[in-house]
Amino acid sequence: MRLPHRLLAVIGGLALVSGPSRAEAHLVTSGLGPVYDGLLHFALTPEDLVPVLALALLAGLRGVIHGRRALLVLPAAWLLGGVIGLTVHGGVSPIWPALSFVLLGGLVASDARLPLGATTLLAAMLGLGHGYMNGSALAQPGLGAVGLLGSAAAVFTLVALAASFVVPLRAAWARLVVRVAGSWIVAIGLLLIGWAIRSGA
Amino acid sequence: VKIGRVAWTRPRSSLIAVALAVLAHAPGAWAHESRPAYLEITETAPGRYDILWRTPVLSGMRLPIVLRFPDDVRDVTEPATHELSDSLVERRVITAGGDGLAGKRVEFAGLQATITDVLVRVRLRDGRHTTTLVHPSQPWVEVASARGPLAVAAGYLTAGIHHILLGVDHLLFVLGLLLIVKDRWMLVKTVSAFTVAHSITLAIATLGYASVPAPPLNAAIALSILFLGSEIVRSWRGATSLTIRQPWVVASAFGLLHGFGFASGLTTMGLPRAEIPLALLCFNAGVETGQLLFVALVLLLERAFRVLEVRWPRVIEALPAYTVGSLGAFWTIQRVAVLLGAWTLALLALLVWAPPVHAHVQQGQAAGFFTGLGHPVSGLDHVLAMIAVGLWGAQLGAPAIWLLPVTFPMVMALGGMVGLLGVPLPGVEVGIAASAILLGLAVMSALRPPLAAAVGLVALFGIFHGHAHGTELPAGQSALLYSMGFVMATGCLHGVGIAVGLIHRWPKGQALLRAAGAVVALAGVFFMWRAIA
Repeated sequence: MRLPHRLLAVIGGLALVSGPSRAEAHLVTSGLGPVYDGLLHFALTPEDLVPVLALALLAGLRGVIHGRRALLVLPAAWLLGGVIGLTVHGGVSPIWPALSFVLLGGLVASDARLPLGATTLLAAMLGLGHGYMNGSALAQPGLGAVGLLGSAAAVFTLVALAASFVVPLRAAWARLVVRVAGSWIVAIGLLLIGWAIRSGA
Repeated sequence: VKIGRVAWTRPRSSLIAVALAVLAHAPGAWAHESRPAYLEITETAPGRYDILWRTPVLSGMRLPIVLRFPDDVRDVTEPATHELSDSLVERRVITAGGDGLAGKRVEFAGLQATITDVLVRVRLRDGRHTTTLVHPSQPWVEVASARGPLAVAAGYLTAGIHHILLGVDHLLFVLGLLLIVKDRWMLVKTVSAFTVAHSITLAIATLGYASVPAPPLNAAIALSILFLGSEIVRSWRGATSLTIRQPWVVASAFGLLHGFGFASGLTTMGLPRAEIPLALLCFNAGVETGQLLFVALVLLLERAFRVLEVRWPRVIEALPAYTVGSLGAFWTIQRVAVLLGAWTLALLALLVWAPPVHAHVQQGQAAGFFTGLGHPVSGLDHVLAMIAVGLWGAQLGAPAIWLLPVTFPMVMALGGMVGLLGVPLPGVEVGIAASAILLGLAVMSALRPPLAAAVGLVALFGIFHGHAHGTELPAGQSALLYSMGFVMATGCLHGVGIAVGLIHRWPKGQALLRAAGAVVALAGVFFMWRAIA
């Protein structure tokens, strides 16, 4: 059972990194400066927020080591991807974030027993891909790298809080609740894909 | 299982690395420098309005916000500009046709590129008036959109949250407290004490019963952060102090200072008197909400690191205390330099400050300058006595105002040298406590002895303080850098005392100064009791 999961993770990771979506054009101004703007942008962009949450849940289900790995790798990759996005700021189809939903949500829903390397790869790819999208959206005067730092801090915080919430869960019903959340994320992703296809993206 | 200091320290250390990275990148983001602009529109006749437009000036630069009325508005009088020390005031009369400004939009071009709000007050001829706080996220206001008390309350609540989230120095102080407290009950006590204390002075300042000039206030707030930085290092080394044992006492004392800082965010809005109670309540609620959110975030992250068993490298572990202390030191020097009008001193201090701090991180231990800088503020007894010297000097006026602060460090250095040489001096702690009592009493009673007697008294106490510091020079320190930092910090403390002491020029200030002397004397009694017991 391990090999398919690892393979799935690799394919999924490649999909995540190869599929940065179109940059989010309209940013919400917090009025509190670029750090908070970047933070708020992440919090108000479900295309980024939900996959990060899904990865945190997944890592949390797998235990302390996976959670810690995700906590360290994802924000770092996010920053790297963000810097690339700030430099290149290109745009691609919105179908790709939907694939992140499906992949990561599916792994959470199936409580996939991924090896540590797969979690690391997923975190790195997710960070690079969505960090790139985030960086592209933040590539405007007055935000830039400082805004990216805010969004990376938000990613770090979300992963820390969500993973540490799931790690101690031992009761079967509690883990089931997390898996149900994963299934919901898959469902949202499927709807997003349908919507993207229908609108010709 | 290590519960307590070690178990709490590691996660918090890592947290700070993240938190400070964010905080340090909020450019110019402390609350006292985000004063709002102010627009007052008063209807004097149908369709005719008096306009008052005030924009804050920072470092001689007017904020680039342009006031834009609808196209059909015409100037009746040319704008008359009046320059104040901290803002630019423009007055004019406009006409807006038969319908007036009702339902029309006034825009603030350029506001979205700032972190400044605009307080808009509109008074109509029928007696209605509205107050709106315009944020950069929506840089316009509709004049006739009458706002009920709930909307006004929400505006002040938001302003309070904004104020604390932008008040990096306040947040850093709270963070410092969180790093020191060891258990949850003490945490509750400490946060509550800070909240109660700053609420008191926020109310006092907003209601106009007392005010503290911004420069010394900002310097004192910075000093409170520097103080906490050294206390964190002390607690990590396993030492103890009043701050470590009872952090709520320090939170309470410094909370009074921070409350005056919070008040600056409210009083600079130019509140209408009728709205003061509501504004005070809601603004304070906003500040508390923001503060509690911050504390909750810190605690949640701490728990997350514990659950995920995150272990950070030593450098990152050591970073928080040095960062809190370094920023506190930087701000103290910067703000004291502003206070004294000595910009060159600030530059010099910056140049001297930077290399040793870099060395801290590299070597994983404190180098001499910074340790020396932090040492005089490491004990409340020293701090109070040195500030009291400044207060007394300011009270006595020239030449004592400069003679006392000059005498004290020199004689203190002499005492320090004696201590370094290992020459014993009996009753050092009693002498230090006595200095706080007598200097406090001198300030309280506005005592005016002959100049020689005042200098002699200060010199005598300087020996005790210096001896105590001299015997405490940590091993492995650079004596030169340590001494430089030590003397500079002492001088800054005197400077703070003198700056605060200048309030004696006003009648209310004289009473406050005497009250401050009484507080120092009372603290001295406490130190004496500790020294003897």
